[in-house]
Amino acid sequence: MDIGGKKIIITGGGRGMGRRFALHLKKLGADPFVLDVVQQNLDELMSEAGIPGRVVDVSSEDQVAAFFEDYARESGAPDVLVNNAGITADALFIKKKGDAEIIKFPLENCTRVININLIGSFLCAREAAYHMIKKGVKGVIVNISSISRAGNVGQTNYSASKSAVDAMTVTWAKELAKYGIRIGAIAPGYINTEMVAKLRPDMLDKIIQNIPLGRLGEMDEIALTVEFIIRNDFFTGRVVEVDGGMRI
Amino acid sequence: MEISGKKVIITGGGRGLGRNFAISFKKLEARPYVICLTQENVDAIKSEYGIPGRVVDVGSEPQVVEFFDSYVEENGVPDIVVNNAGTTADALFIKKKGDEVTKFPLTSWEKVIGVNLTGVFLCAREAAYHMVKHGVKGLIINISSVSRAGNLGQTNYSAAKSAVDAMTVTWAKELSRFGIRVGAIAPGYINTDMVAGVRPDVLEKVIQNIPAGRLGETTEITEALNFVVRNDFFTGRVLEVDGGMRI
Repeated sequence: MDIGGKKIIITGGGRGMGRRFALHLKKLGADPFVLDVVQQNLDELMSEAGIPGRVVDVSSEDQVAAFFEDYARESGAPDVLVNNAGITADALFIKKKGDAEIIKFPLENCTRVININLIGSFLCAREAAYHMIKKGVKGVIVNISSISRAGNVGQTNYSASKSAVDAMTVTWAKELAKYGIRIGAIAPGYINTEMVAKLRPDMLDKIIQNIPLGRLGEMDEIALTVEFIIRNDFFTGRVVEVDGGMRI
Repeated sequence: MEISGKKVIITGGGRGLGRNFAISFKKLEARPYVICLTQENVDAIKSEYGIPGRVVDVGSEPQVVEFFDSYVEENGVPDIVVNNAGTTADALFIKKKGDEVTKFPLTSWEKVIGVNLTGVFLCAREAAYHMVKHGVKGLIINISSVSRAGNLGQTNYSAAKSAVDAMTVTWAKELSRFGIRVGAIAPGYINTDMVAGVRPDVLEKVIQNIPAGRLGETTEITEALNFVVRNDFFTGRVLEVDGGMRI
């Protein structure tokens, strides 16, 4: 698929990697539109780069359905959807602190992450695919997974959500191929973003020691990967892993 | 890594995917060099595209060592080596035809392991040796296959490709300290000589199993190759370009 002129919706596009995708794709002549939960981020992106956006909570079926209806009515079916919105809420499954306390993984942490990372991806992909098929648009859906899909310490919820997204990537690729729709995923390793900057410095150090390339990835390296998936018409149903050789 | 100006050695570069890689690199202003088994193909790519090459049997340690030594002496260390040379020799592991029961021939096994696995090992080793010796932060790209998952009739080919994947990971871990990246690409069924050799009824069945509904084009694999060259954070992993096919 040529990128020039394509309508691309990016969830979680207000900051971090999503924002970088939007800027990168705009430079390549595409027509990005971002969803996020913080109005201020959307305003800044609009004034800085002329990229439009809307506040939408991807975990809300009503909001997602309404957004895609409005978008399709104004602009037609999107050509590309990038399911990038995601959060973390890390905790050990069972944590033992000295002799006294044994702490369980809070269900709330699980629910929050599953809602945005997994259900949010499901809802946005469903609405996007619905409109693509209705209008006969042979589109592309790119799901942002993670190296954590392999099962990362402290990320019961995050790993589960990302692995689940991988499975849906394969299911959708098989189901939607008949409509000419491709589905791919990217599993980034540790990338130089806000999300990673929040990690404790000693932990971050240990992580970098485990990255064969000896550094964090750059957001542009993941944006390049989004570009590759959009362009490559034979890529579907698979995950591209860009992680500096790291194994979790 | 920028592609232009880079010295690229492509094994099995005389035809099929390898030939297309070489031509694409030339168009992108890199400096491709092909090795293969057929002098005729070496001559053809030289006269048609000005791409130099040589006959080298990648399964032969003395030939591979000698080739890399002379290449380096003449051209300096390669920046990129694409381990693309590969062959098939399909057979069922055990085949029952009426009353006759036949076994997978050892010669078919050895032929494919010799080129697809040992050949990859030897070329990567020599390439990495020279890269490390001269401090070149190079790139090794191994061509795997969708068959790595274990394809019917391809005990040997699947084993070889899966083994190459494992080496990709080992080398990425070992050689990163020298600034060398090692990646792999696993193409699905692509419109090439190798696939044209498959029986038409079998090929039809294959295409029925490809969600994309068609064979891949060599340009799509070349695109994947270019992505691996350019993406400096991609190492130790396999990029699968197969139209969604599951084997």
